[in-house]
Amino acid sequence: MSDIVASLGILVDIKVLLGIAFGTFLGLVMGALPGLTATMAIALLIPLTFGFPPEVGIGMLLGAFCGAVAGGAVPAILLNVPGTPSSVASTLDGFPMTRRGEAGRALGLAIASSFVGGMLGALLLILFAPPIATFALRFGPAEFFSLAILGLVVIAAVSTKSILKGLIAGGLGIFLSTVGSDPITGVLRFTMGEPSLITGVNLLPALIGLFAISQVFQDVFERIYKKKEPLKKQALTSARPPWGALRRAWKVIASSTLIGTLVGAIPGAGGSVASFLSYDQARRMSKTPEKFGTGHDEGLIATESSNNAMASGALIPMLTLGVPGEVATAVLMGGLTIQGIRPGPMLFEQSGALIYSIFIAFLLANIFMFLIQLFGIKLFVQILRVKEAYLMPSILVLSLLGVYAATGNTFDMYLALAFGALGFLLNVFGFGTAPVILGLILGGIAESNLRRGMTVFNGDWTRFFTQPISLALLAATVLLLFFLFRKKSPQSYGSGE
Amino acid sequence: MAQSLSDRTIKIVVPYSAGGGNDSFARALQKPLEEILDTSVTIQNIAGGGGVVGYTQLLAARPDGFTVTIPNNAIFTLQGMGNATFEYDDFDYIARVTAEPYVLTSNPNLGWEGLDDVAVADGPVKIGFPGVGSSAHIMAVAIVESLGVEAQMVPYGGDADALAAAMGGHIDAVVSAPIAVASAVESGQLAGLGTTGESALLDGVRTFADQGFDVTTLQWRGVAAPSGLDDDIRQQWVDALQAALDDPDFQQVMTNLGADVAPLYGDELDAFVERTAADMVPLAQRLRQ
Repeated sequence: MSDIVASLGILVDIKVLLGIAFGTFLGLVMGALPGLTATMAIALLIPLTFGFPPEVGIGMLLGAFCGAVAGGAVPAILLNVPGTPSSVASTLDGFPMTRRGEAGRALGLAIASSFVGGMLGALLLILFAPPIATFALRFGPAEFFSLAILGLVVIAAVSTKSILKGLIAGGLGIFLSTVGSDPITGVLRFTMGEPSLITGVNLLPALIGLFAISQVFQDVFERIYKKKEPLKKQALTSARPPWGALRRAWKVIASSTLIGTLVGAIPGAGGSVASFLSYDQARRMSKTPEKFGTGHDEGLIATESSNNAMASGALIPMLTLGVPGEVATAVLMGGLTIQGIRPGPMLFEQSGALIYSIFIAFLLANIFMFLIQLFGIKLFVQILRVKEAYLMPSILVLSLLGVYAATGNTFDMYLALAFGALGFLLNVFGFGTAPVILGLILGGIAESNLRRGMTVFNGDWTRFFTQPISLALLAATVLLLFFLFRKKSPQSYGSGE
Repeated sequence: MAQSLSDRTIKIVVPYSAGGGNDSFARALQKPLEEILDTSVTIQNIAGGGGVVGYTQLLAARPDGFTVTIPNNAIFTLQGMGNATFEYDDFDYIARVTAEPYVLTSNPNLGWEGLDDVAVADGPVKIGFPGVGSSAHIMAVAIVESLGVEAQMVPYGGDADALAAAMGGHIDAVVSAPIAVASAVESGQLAGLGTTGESALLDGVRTFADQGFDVTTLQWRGVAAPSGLDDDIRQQWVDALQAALDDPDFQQVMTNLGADVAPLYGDELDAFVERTAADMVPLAQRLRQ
């Protein structure tokens, strides 16, 4: 108890509060710019924290993490360009709302959902971190493989009109995930002598190319070949959080927060799959599943609350086991280590005051994130007033700069352009780009864990079907496929529960 | 051509993305070096191919001392795996600044307390490590050979996945860096079996040498330039680094990162590089086949 009281001191330390606010603000800005991610925001801040007292440094890093995850939704909603991999799913219902002239309302929903998801996720983190970590450790090769397969099918199902086309696009992503050094033997595959491909197709240029640059190409194409429907005038009066809609969707928030926290807590599961799983779950629980993908409240609420819960979830194994949940948390952990804090089980057992400071800083970061965005909504929406003739070139430049800033490798800029062309073609022919990016993420997880499993199970493939969690995930996949192909119309599969 | 390192901006090429251990090391050196040399020092992250892209671009620079990089064991493993066009002697090594051992830990439920327990275990022992072809992979091979135990090598994508797998009992043991496991070992989530050298973070864990096994390869970080460095410039670098290591902020960051500041220069450094290369390159070459 005295630990909690001691850690409450940071609430009145103006330096700490400023640190958290600054970190959150920077995270939001970087998350909102295509090409700059949470990982980048944290990495950029780390050297800055070298001379700071630990509480300030930690607050700043946690703020950046929290802000960047939420900030990714802004361009996803306004421009159909997700700022970070985890906000890909928010384009599904967010952008159609903007098309309808409801950008302000969509942002309000996203911000409120991020806030609620983030706070609930933080509560799960504070109350149940150790048991959740124990659950996460049960994930071995079989479980990871099955989760990845389920994720791929879900994404193919939710992100395009045609499940078949979605699966084909997912397959393309899986193929791309095989480029690079073989994850088990180290043999180089399809690298064509290009050293940058040794570690595989880099995720960031792929994401930026498929989502941001493809939009630019599409805009140019439409400008030349067809009359483009002008964007509806945005109703700015509604630019505040619609709490009523959120209250009505409490079931969606509950399931999305839980899914986000759990998937985020499993190290190596690829956090971006969480928002898709939540989206799918929300659609199946919904009375109006056919509205998903057309700018439906529940869809956006599901993805955004899941996203920020995922951020809390990713902190769980980091704090309890010393093992980061995903890429951004890995960098965050490096930053905390430099501050002299060694995340891991000992932190929980010995430094009670410190762990509560981390919790409080994280809750504060969520609150700051909410407040900053709340005042920012009207500003964000202004971006839609910019003529596309200026906006699109700016997106192209920012995207390529972001890719270059992350790796400093010019090859990645060409790769992003190539993915832009690919994304453009995929969109034109209705395949969708989300399955490709998730195929790229999950394909690697599925392959390496299948082969790792065959090694540690001594070649006994039945173990993939006899481990309980793995079996449950595979059964869910088969059921999902069954319903998908039985129904003529893929949008209504959810009604047949 | 009496040049001074203070004449121009110095560029440190970090062959990985911002935010990792190599990057933090370079950034911790940045401020003290700027003060000592009275010039600006910039860090350029060039990531790709597990270090290949950054190191290759460094080697294309002139060996004038104004463009340097942070070497580590990846140089040897990249060469051995055949993933790089360079060889380790394409670099002029200016200094080793920090060193840290590799550590073997195991799932505590196995009841192993030391290396002898692993050596007599009923095989195959499942040993994980972060990254196929990484230096931890090479060390896992060296450790298995030294212990003479039958083993299954299980590569993981990174430290996090490998450690979680060992804690969850999906594999038996894991090779990693001390900083990655210190907290887990202290709390008993993982059992520390042996380190390849002394580590301040793991003082309860005995070294391989103490337990009668000859595995002494260390991970290290330092400063290197493309080969052909002028002797005078090299000396200026050594002087600047010696002064920089006294910087309290630098020392604090290194302590927190679990890296022992263990500087080597000149002939001693050359001997260390040759010895480490002899440990790692042939093993990495064998993995290719």
